[in-house]
Amino acid sequence: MNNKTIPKFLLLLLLIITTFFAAESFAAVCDVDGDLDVDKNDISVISAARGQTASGPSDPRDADHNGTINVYDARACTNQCTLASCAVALPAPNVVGQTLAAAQSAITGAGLSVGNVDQSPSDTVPSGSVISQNPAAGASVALGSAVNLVVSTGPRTAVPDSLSLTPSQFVIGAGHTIIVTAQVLDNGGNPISPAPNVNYQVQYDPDLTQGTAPVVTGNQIGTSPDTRGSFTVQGTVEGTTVTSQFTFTVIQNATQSRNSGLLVTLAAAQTKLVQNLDVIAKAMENGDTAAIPGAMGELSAAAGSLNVNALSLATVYEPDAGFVPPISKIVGRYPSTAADTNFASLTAQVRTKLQQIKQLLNQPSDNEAADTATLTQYATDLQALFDQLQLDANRPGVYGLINKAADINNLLIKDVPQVMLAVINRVNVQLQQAGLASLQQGHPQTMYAFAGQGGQSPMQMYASTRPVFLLTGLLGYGGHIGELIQKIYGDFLDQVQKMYILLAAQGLLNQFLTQTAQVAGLQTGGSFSFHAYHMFDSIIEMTGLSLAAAQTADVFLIGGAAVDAVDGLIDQLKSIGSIRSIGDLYDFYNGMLDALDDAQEAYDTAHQQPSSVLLTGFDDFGCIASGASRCVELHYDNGFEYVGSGPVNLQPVIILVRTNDPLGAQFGSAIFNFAGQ
Amino acid sequence: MKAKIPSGIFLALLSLAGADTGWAITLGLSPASQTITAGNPFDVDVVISGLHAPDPDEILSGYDINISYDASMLTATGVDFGSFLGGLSDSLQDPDFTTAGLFNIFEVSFLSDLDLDTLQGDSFTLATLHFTAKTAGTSALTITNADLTGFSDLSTTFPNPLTVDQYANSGVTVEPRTAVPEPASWALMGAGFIAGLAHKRRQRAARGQHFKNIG
Repeated sequence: MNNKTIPKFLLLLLLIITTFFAAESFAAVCDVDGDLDVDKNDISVISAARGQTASGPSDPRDADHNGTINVYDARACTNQCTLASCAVALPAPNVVGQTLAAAQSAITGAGLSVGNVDQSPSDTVPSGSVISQNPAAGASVALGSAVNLVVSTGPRTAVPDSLSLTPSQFVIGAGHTIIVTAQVLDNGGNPISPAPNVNYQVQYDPDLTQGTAPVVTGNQIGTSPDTRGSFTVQGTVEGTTVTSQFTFTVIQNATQSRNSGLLVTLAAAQTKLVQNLDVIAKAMENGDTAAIPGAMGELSAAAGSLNVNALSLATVYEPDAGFVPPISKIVGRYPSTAADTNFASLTAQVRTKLQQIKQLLNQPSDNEAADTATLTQYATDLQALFDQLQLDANRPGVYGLINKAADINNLLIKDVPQVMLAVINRVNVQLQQAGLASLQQGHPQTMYAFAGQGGQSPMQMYASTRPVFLLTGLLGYGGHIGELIQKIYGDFLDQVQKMYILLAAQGLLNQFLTQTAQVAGLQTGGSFSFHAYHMFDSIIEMTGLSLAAAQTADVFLIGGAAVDAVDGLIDQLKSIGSIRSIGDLYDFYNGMLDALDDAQEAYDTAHQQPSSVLLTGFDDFGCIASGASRCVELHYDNGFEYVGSGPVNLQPVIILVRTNDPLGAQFGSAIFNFAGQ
Repeated sequence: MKAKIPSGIFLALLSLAGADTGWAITLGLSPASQTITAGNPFDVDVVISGLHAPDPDEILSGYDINISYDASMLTATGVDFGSFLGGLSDSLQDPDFTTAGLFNIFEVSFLSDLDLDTLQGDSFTLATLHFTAKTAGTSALTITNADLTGFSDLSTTFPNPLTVDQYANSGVTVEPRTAVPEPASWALMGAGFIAGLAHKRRQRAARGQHFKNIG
């Protein structure tokens, strides 16, 4: 039984890892001398070997794996250099425990320089000696680079010096409670244990908030269903003047607005996922398996709290900026500035320009060249407006933002989606003209009709039609233009962006990727997407992956079913604590086997290899998603197998591609579904 | 890792009509011709031009160029690399002229594409090749192979090839070493000089007419 359990358990661990995140790998390619970095020594060897045939597919000198070592490999590898100017790395000397003077001497003697010297108390390191150094001893550093030191000031004093407050959420649905975690720190920035009591007080401006004020109970800040706006919590270490504060925003609760509720869930889940991924990564590194089940349980709970179906295209997203105070409450308190006026004018111009673009895309003339020129001009105009909006002279203050809140909302939830719809429609026409899509078999507008106006359900839609659609734009519907808008509207939109469900989902993925970059050895990359199932001629487009790597890669489509399977296994694992008899033990193992079988099945189903792999380019009607000059397309002649959870056809999925090509571990992917002809 | 989806679509739309590009990147040797007396040293510049002719601009991030010459007449003696790929501190320069008749220059920059774009203009000298003329005759200097790298793909970090539209080769005429002229021959030389000037003026006029016809 154990023989069967252990490998599956490890398999599942891998599944969990690959379910929730993807990793970047460290480049062995280009590291010709095998010293774990890429520097001018490596480039020099590649240069000397130019014109030679590579020794094989793993020849580190042949970065592009085309079998020949040439200047392209050399340049590809300079792009991979570990240090600036491809400098050769030196090992940092070990100066921990030395006096500051001795450490300084050792550092300069090694060809490096002394950077910041900070002080910190230490119970073990004598005053004046080095407690720690950064970079650490043995780390690769460039000649002349700085080594920062922390020098001991002697034993610490357990007197509160500062307070660190971490709320469970910064944005919360009305009626929910924030839990505050406090750390009281000594003069060395170390937590004092046992921690002194901290008292909390909620501060707010009645004119900028609404409803019942939040209530403090111990370290919990409770809100009421009618609470709205921004509140500041100040914590004070009891018996001292040491304080700290944070601000949180109360928005509509999930019961009133699906999306704010989703956001709340997502934000909380995101925090938990990030924390526990870190725990698991460290535990795996240290071989401390005891810590893993607990972290997995937390991960499971966090994942379970995500409503994956609601994150699909069918979700009606309604950006909710929380409580926006009426302008009457702002007048007099926040003066209108010239920048506010400029901002209002520019915002109006942006909206007009977006509408012009939409108009042109929806109703093109017969003269495509002229239309293209006009469109190009519009894009130039738009960029010029965005450039102006970024100038300090045009950055609005509180008055300007609140005065134009309606315009900004309309721009985000109406103008931008409409332009994107127009873009998709136009692309669809182009695809039809190119023979890539059928005119009769559906239309992306159908989905938008649902998304925007509560039309037929996705199930009905897909049952009645086999839509031709591009899903690729989904995560980026706020995308090209959206990115610019976010860049321009700055801090205010940071709040609105949190409500933007799809973008928030992308943020979650980015967190996965950031976290997992710390787990060495995994050569997996991927991206978040949405896709439908059993659609003939489906394609995953990948940039950043060589053809050779793609041809030998393992492709996984991780959907809701995998999450469910992981949930089931973790639930079963957690029941180990309730075993009280032989019968319980028997039931436990039986349950484990069932859960493992389910996990194995989910894993097997997730593993979907393409029918064929092609290297193509934008000029050859490929790479439509990325617009890249070259990309790899994984073709699924019979579409994807169902890996989702629940009845909605169109589901979020994380595409993971595992490859042995270390350089191929950083790539983007997107899914196209084309209806078969 | 992020999918750049919408920008791709948007850009695709923007380029519906296709751009009428007049790319004209030239890799050449300069001067186009020169006359050297046997025994004297001379230089040939390797020059790239037209990097700003495409829209957007192109850059040169690395190159591996072979130039052939007549080894019976010329001896390669050295090379000075330019600074437009970062110079000695920020590029790897690896010339090879040990094979008679073949001058190979190789340089790959350690700078980022962005830095190179800032550093490089429309045209610049990659390297200056040093030769010594040995015996009289005429030798072509011909670019026989050129692998150039341009911007790198942001997602893969692989460089794209930089396509050269036109090559401009060079030639050198080596004259035999002659005795120092006697004073009496100065007058004759002067006459020859004046005749040479007149010939050049006629050539220039003819060339001007030619350009006019093209335009």
